[in-house]
Order: sequence, then C-alpha cells, then structure tokens
Amino acid sequence: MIKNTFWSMNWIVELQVFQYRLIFKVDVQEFIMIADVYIELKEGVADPEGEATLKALRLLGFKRVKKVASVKVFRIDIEARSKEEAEKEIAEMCEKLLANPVIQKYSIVWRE
Amino acid sequence: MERDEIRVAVLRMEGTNCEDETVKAFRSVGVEAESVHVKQFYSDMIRFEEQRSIFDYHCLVFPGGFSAGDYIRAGAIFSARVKSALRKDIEEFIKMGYPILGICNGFQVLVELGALPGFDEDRPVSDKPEMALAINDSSRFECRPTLLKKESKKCVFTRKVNKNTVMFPVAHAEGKVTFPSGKEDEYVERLLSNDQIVFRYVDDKGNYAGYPWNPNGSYFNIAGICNATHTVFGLMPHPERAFFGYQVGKREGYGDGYCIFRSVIDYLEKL
Repeated sequence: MIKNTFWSMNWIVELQVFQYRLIFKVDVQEFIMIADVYIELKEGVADPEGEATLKALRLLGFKRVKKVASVKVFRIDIEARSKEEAEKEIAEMCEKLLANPVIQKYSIVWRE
Repeated sequence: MERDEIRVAVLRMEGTNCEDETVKAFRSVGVEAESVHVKQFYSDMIRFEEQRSIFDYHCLVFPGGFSAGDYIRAGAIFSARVKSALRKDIEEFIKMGYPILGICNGFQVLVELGALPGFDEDRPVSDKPEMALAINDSSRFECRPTLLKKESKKCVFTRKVNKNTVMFPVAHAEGKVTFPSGKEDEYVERLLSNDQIVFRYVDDKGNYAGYPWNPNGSYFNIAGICNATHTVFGLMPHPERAFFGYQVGKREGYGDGYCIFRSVIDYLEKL
C-alpha cells in the first residue's frame, strides 16, 4: 500500500538554470542645468506693450528713458548630458511652443 | 445629410468661456451641438460614455475665451495640446471637407496650430505658424461692436451673408493680423488670389479705415480669413454675440451672426 502511494505522487525535479547576465555600466552623467530662455519681438514688429510702458514712465517723470521693450523669460531646469544637447532641445521647445517664429525670436542664456 | 443628423462639437478647455453661446447658436439653427472638453478626444482617464472621436462630428468649433489663461501667447497652449494629440485626425477631418470654425481665441488657436492661412491643401496643418495675431496696436483690450465687410464668395461660412457689411462685436487684446515682416504684400496677394480673405474692418460708410474702426491695427484691415479649401474659417469678432436680435438691440428676430451659422449648416446639408 505504502509503496503504491509513493509512486503515485508526482515528483517534480527542478532544473536550476543559472542565468548569466552581463551588465555593462556606462558612465554617462546627466546634469541638471538651468537656462533662461528670452523671447523677444523681432526687429520691425510693433511692441505696443513696451511703448505703453515707456509712455507711463515718462509721465511719472523718468524723462531720460529712451526705449522700453517687452521681453518674456522662461527659466527652464533641464536634465541633459551636455549643454549642446540641451540647447538643441530648448531650440525645439521654442519652435514648437514658446515663440511664434513670425514675430518672435529667442535666445538662451545659461545660469551657473 | 439631413439637418437633424448634423453633429457639432464646440471644443472647450480650461479658460474658454464662449462655448455655451456657441452651442446655443448651433442648437437654434436646428442641429445637435455639444461642448466637448478637448481631453475627451484622447485621454484614457475618461469614462467610456464620455469618450469622443473627432469623426463623431461634422463640424468643429474652437470657441472664444482665454484658453489656459493666454499664457505664453493667446491660444498657444490649446493649439499645442491639439497638435500633440489630434493633428492627424484634424488633418483628415479637413481633407474630408468638414468645416472648422475658430472664433476669437479659436482663431488664435487655428493660427498657432498652422491650420490658417493653410495655403497647402495637402498639408492642412503646417509645422510652424505662418502668421501671428499680435498685441493690439492700442495695447488695450478692445471690447465693442465692429463693422465688417464681406469679401469672400467661396468661404462656406459666409455664403448666406447677403448684407454687404455686418456688425459683430470684438473682445480681444491680441488680434492684430501680422505676417512675416517684408513678406506682407506677398501673403496678402496670395490670400486674395485664393479668395481667402473673408472679412475686413470698415467704417460706417463701408470704407476701409484705421483705428478705431480697425480695433487692433490688423494688416490690410483683415478681420477673418479661411484656408485654401474655404472650409476652415477663423475670425476675431464674435458672430455668436450677434446671433439673436436681443443681443444687438432688436426686439425680435436674429442679428447678423445668424447667417454664419446658417451658412455652414446649409453647406453640411448639401455635403
């Protein structure tokens, strides 16, 4: 009887497969860099915001003010391997969203 | 297409505020209209019964307002959202001949999207904007009635406009039509030859005039343009605010804006 049950049991033989994984560790450091992206109006495009500000400043008595231009700055923290790579990406951002190429131009200034 | 089969979507987003009037105007001409949040078209966080496809509709409207608080530039964020998620669908929609209307902020969205001036019929949504709606020359928010002269015969939104000049109110701070500097005349020439200029600002005698008749200093007094196929139309003034007679000081009947909505429904019925 005992023998019988012994053989009716399922014995599972586990094969242990050893997996060898090669892990290459590439040392590429990504830095967080901070860029100031200046969005300005192109030359020849009217700047009513700047002109209105100039007028108001003159009225307040600041007679020596000659010109006021409105500039928008976006401060962008970006993680990248190098400044060149980040600059490329920021240029794409400007073309896709931050600036309208018809009336605006952009420039990038890095903050230390 | 029967009139009661026509479905119109008025796209809304955080900050649009004219969707209800626009929906009401469309419902008043006898078609089914609803305001749809733009994320209902692409987000997977939406309940099943609220999910929509652009092709459920026969006409899309970008309403007026201050989408995303007019941050960056008016309409820039709305158009970036539409472009990232729905560009292919919108291009197909335009190619199928279905109309798209952009009013005020909606015009700004269509311009930022590259759907207007839309010279290329094969690529109805261009990669970069080809024109801009810059800050008004007056540097103010201009909010008052304007007179417009109908210029285009082919635009599907103005076929039923019988009057020579119509009155729609404007309400915007960034509506000055601007083309790349030095190429303005070339662009206007191109628009004229395609019959794409739809409305121009005029004075009370019907002559093209400067400020205050032209509220923003638009080049060539342009108030609204359509694309090369005449089915995508954007304008700064608000036709939905001159839809009912009581909005323009009449006791009954309709205002001038009625013809805009009527024309597009007429076009869709014949499609």
